[in-house]
Amino acid sequence: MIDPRVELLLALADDELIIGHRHSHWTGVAPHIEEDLAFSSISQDEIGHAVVWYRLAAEVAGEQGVRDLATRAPAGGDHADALGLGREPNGYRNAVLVERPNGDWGYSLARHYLYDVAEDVRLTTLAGSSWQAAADATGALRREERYHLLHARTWLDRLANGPLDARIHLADGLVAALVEAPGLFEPLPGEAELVADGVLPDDHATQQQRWLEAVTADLEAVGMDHVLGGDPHHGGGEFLATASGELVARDGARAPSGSGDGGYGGRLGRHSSDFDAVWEEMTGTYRAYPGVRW
Amino acid sequence: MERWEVFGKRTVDDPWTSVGAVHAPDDEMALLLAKEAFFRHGEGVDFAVVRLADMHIFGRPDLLAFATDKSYKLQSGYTGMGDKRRAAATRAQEAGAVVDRPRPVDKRALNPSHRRRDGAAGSEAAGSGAAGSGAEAVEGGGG
Repeated sequence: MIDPRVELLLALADDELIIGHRHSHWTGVAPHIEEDLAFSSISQDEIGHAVVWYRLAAEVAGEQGVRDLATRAPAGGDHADALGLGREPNGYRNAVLVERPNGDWGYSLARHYLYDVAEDVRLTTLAGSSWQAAADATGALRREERYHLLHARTWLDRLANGPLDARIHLADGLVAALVEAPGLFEPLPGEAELVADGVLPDDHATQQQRWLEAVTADLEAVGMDHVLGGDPHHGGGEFLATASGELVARDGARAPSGSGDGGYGGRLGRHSSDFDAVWEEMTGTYRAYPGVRW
Repeated sequence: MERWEVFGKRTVDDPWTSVGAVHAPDDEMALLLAKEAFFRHGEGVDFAVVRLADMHIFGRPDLLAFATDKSYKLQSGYTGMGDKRRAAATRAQEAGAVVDRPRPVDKRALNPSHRRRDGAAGSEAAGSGAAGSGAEAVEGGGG
């Protein structure tokens, strides 16, 4: 059986790695160049966080443990690379939400926002861990996380108050992302033990509640909390002021996509077909040349 | 008295670059003083002043510090690339790879505004016929 602490760290790290990889898909094609850089930089931050957690996970798992997990990795290679690139697809613990393609800018922003609030909650929780090494690691990561949240909240505010089209795209994106966001708080294998030991000071259900409170407060502040009910546009009848001052009625709400199971399964290695595409691309070089360093 | 930040342009095409600050009661006086303080040796073709109070300052040094290893963002993270490239070329040659077309032209060498401070023509541009065309960058003299 895998040490529950390794399960905890892999869940954190895989979320970071995969959302980092998805964010990087905006590189070169974001709506404008400054935002292209911002998303690319956040992408690098997130992948850097993944490395921190992979290294700590490898310390707990040991050489043999890493090789058991990363069956495609050569012996004696870099542990972070092995865990990040050397596992079979069903060995990854990331939430389904983070493996979804970027979609449009509204969905990307919505997911970025919901994810980074979740990461903030998770890191704040872990900062109080009885496991000192994990608690210590949160310090530096939370500093970068504050910027990610600033970035996400600034955009949330702008799109919510922006022209009608921006608000529609954001609302659609939020509804679609919210369907699968609970997967970020899917209970881990061995969670009870982690909580009992104080490694995880609060279980994921408690963290999810905290996340929802923070998200609700933000959405209320921009007058968009109705999306929490799964309805992007007030039952299709929302009237919104356009930039020219005209009121425009919004037609029927688009049904949210998603699996309908709260985005669960990721922590057990069950992923959507979208994950395969990320995995193929992300691990291509490593699979062709196992253990390669550039 | 208010503080004014002073920005100059060396050529019309250059971006505004901070050159210093002056203390003055209004914009007219600030421009006057800035000219004497910073632009009396032919330092540029134009300059501007901005009230410090009008600058939107980020003020979050904690958000600028690296939290993890970011050497990949720095030039120092890429030392030894020449060796790696040569090693890769050797391996490719040993594996039987053949380069059967000329190198693409280095377009930087064709661009007169691409100034190279070291005065060296790009070695990769050798054979393109344009090597050395960008080597005449001259630093502005001091006064």
